[in-house]
Amino acid sequence: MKQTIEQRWDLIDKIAKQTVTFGEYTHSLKDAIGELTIKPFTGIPIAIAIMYAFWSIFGSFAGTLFTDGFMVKIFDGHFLPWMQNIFPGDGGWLYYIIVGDPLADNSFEAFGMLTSGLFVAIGVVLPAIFIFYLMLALLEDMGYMPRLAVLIDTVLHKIGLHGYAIVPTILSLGCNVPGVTATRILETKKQRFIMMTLLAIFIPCGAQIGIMEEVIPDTMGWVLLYLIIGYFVFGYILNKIVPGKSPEFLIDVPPYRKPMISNIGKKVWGRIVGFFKVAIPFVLLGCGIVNVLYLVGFIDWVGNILSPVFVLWFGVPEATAGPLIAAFLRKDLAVAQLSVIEMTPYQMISAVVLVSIYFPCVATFAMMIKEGTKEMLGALAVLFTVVFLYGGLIHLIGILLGVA
Amino acid sequence: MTVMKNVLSGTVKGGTIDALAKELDINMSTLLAMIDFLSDAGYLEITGLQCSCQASNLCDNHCGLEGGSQTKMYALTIKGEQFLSCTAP
Repeated sequence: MKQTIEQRWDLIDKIAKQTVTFGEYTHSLKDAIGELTIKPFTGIPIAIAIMYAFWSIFGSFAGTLFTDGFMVKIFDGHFLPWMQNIFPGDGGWLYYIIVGDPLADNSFEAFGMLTSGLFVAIGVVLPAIFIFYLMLALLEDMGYMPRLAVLIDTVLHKIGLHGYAIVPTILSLGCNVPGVTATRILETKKQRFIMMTLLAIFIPCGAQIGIMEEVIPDTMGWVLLYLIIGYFVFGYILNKIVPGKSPEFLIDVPPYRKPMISNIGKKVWGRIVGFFKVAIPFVLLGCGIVNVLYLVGFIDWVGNILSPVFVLWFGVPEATAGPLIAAFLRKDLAVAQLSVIEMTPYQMISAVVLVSIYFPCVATFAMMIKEGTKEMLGALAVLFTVVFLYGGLIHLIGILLGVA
Repeated sequence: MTVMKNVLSGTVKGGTIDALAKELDINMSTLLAMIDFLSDAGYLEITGLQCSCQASNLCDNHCGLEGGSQTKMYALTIKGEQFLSCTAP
C-alpha cells in the first residue's frame, strides 16, 4: 500500500528514534557567554554598552584628540596661512577656487579646494573613519556582528529586513559605498531594495558624522534621532507597499574567538585605502565645482528658484541651496558649508537632516546604478517623496514646538 | 510531529541553531547533521554563507580558517514549505 508523505516521515522518525542517538542538549560556558549577547534581556544592555563605548571612543579619539588636538592646529595655524601667502593672484578667480576666501582664518570657512578640501578629507574624515573601521573590524573579528544580527532580527523584520541588514547599515555609517555593495548579502529583491533605499536616505556616512561632531556637537543628537526615526518609519511603510518576501532564517552562529591583529590591520587598511580612493577626488572636486558654481552665479540662481520650497516648506534659509548642491558631491563638505550660514539651531538641525536625506553622494549614486538601474530609479522616487514629506514634517514639528 | 518537521518549523520561526537545539533538547551535532540532511534532500537551503568580514573587498582573503569565522544561514525551500503545509494538522 502506498504511504502518504506524513506516514513515510512517521516511519522514518520511528526508525531514527530506534537507531540514532539524539543525545541531550548540552551547554558549555562558552555557549552561555555567547548566549548572553543574543538573548534580549542581556543582549540589549550589552549592545547599548558596546555602541556607547563605540561612540565615546569615536568622539574622543577622532573628534577631540586627532581633529581638535592635532589637525586643526596644523591646518589653521600653519597650512592655511602658508597657502594664502604662497598662492599667486590673491582675490582672483583661480585663487578663490583653489585657496578660497583670502580673509578666512580657519580651514572650515576658506572653502578652497586645497584648504577646506584637504582639511575635511585628512583633518576630519581620516581620523573619524580610521577609528570607526578599527572598532568595526575588532567587533567583526571577535564574532560579535552575527550575534548583533540575531539580536536585532525581530526589529528588522518589522521593516522587511532580517538581522544581517545590520551589517550594511553599520558599514554605511563608515561609508555608504561599501554599504550599498553589502546589500548583496540580503536574499530577496524586496530586502535589497528596502535596504538600499534606507541607506541612501537615512544613514549618514562616517565623514558626515565626523563633520557634524565638529560643527554641530550640541544639536547632532537631534539630527541622528530624526534619521533613526525616519529609518524605521519609512522602512515600515516600504515593507507594507513593496511586494516580495522577507523570509525567516535559521542561523548557525560561529563561536567567539580572539581577534587577530593581522586581520584587523589588513581590514582597516583595505577599507581606508578604498575610502580614500573615493573620498579625496570627490572632496577636492566638490570644493572646486561648488566654487565655480558660486562664481558663475548658478547657486544663487538655484537658491532663488527654490527659495519658496526651502523657506516656506522646509523652513531653512535659501542660502542652503549651495550646500545641498555640494552634498551631491560630498555630504561632509555640505555640512561644513552649512556651518557658516546664519540660522537658528532648529534650522540647522533641519538643514543637516535635509543634506543627509536629500540625495546620496555621487559615489553612492554610482554604486547604486551598478547594483541595478531599475532599483536605483525606484529608490530615487522614494527618496524624493521622503525628502518632501519628511522635510515638511520636521518643519511642522519645529513650528508646533515653537522653535522653527 | 516528527523531529524533522520540528526542525523545519523551527526554521520558519527563525533564530539560532543553538536555540533550536535547546528547544528540541537535541545534541547540537545531531541537529547539524539533520539540517545537513534536510539541505541535501532539498527541504532547506543555505541562503547565506556570511563571513565575519562580509562586504569588505578583502573578505575572500580573510574568511575561513585564517580569517573571520563564517555564519551559515538556512531558509526553507518551496519543497520544505509544501511539506509543512501539506502535513499541517
